Amino acid sequence: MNDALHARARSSSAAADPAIELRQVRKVFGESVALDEISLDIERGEFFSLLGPSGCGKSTTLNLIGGFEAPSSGDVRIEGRSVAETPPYERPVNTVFQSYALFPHMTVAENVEFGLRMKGIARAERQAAASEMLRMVSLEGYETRRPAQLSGGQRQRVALARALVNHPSVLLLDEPLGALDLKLRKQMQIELTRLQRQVGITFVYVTHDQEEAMAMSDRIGVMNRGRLLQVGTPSEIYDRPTHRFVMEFIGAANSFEGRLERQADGIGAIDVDGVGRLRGLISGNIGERARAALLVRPEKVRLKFDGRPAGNGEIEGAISHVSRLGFITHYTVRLDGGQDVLSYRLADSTEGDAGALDEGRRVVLSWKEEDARIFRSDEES
Amino acid sequence: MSATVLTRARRRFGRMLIPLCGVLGFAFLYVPIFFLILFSFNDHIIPSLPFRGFTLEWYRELSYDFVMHDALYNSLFIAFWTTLISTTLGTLAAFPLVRRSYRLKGASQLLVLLPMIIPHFLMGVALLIFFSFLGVPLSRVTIILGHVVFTMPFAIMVVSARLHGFDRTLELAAADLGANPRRTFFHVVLPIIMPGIAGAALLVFALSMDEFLITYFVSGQKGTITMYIWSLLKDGIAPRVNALASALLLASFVLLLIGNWLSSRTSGVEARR
Ligand SMILES: Nc1ncnc2c1ncn2[C@@H]1O[C@H](COP(=O)(O)OP(=O)(O)OP(=O)(O)O)[C@@H](O)[C@H]1O
Ligand SMILES: [Mg+2]
Repeated sequence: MNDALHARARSSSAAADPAIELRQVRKVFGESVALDEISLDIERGEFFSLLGPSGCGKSTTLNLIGGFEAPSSGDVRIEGRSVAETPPYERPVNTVFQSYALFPHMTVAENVEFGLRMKGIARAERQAAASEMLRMVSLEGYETRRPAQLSGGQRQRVALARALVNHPSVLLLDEPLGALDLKLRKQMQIELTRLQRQVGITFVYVTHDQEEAMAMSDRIGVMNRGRLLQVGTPSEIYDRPTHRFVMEFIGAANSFEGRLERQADGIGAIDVDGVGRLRGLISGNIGERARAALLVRPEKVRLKFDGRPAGNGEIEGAISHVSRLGFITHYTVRLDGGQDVLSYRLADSTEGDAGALDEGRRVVLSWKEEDARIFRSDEES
Repeated sequence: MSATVLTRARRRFGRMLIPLCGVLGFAFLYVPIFFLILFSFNDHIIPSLPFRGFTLEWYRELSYDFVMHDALYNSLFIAFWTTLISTTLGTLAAFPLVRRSYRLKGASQLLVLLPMIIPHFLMGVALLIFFSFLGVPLSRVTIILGHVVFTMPFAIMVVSARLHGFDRTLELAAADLGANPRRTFFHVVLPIIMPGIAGAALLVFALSMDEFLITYFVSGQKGTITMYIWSLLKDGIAPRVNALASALLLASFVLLLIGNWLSSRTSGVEARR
């Protein structure tokens, strides 16, 4: 009875364990630090994206989870179990490689069956599973082809089927859409999210394309230079970035440099030479009078084309460039101090004054102070 | 006007020049072999022009020539074991030479290929001295050892070329799908480099069948086919030699076709990447 109780306690705690836990993971290659103290929980059934520029350590993170690299220090856990001693071929994870890594000497069906064959599943059973999986990725009828006879998108789907047919706890995907053209890419994004919902497997998805991450993920981890800067839902990352890097990497942002002057309720102001005092929300710990940067997204910058700046954060300039992108229009405003500021407006909101907002026209810019963010200026990442 | 005629003639000559060189080149390569084959059917005891009439006499003579049969058997026996040993060792050696990184890697890659340019005469002498120093009696075994020494660099080179182009993420993919290192090797690595190994084996076999100098120095009682031909030539050129050479040529040609077929399958794998 005691045993049964223990077993139940164990299994229920196991069910509650995150799919992946990284505990202060470091990875050093010779002198260079590829990953610096990464700690991260990825929940079961989640579509989690790792986003960051080239060389920031995304693939290294996946390799640590897949078991292709060992951490220099720290611990990797899969469903609550430390996998430090577990080789890749015994881990309950499968990978879709960036290059797909399909076996060239095998047919599509043989590729998909490979994992089941290694598990010793009988031929008939694994053939059934493989064709079922190929149907799921809309590749029925391609069983006897070789990878060389497939298009990029088809190879990508074979790679996906080859991994998913094993029903892994976690599927690792390393920029799987990187080699596809834009249209196919968009289509595969939709198919992938649909598939993930359908099979309910945890996806850890690596990309350096912020739009892709925003469109597909439940949560995103933003990385830069081997550090994990922020983890959150797409809207958290976009609307409440904790680092200047995150704000600039995801979407566009206008930035102003100056010295911070603290004001009430987390609001600060910075003095910008030749522009004036600009107000925004303070992010993190910044010392009084320290150098700081205020960032504001273009769609938060309002344009008024009459009147004078009222002083409280309003600034003045002249429109230097207009690009109409259909439903949205981008205005570049040259401030009197010489700095350019971007402002996006929906096209129909300019209907009344479209002619008036032309190049050369003087305008007043403003934003709500909670829409702008102030970060430490010396902050590198 | 004469100038244009001249340039036109010159241009025509230019157009002809490359095909002409080609024809001459092929002639240089194949005319001797053509005569070799031709005289194997010539009904005269001395293989020279004029052609006296067609005969299969020399081939018939070969079929009674038990010394030659023995020599051919020895050659095949030696070539078989040389191929097996050289290709296996060469394949095993290619892996660390291509994949590992260690001190003096460049030097070791050079050293391993060096025997290819050592004259066989020198190598034969060296091996003879070495074997007698160790007190090893000369036999087919010493011939095989000698052949392994000079063919292994070729095997290493051919397999290495194949390994260089090998996409190592395929091994990660196999591991990811549950294959331990042994199964990864047999299910993924070996099938993909197989055309390279087969090519190496063909090359080693041909080299071994062909070898004379090293064989001459380290052979005991039993001679090979090349030594047999050599002994025939000492008594003047006999048409039997032509017949034998033509038969061997045919065999080599078949081997070449097989090799070609294998390497065309090779490039098929390449294109798939
Ligand atoms: N095997 C290795 N040896 C040495 N350095 C390495 C190795 N693998 C990765 N690195 C380094 O670690 C850092 C992170 O590499 P990683 O491949 O994880 O980047 P990434 O985020 O996947 O980039 P990308 O988007 O270009 O694929 C890079 O600076 C890279 O040079
Ligand atoms: Mg990468």
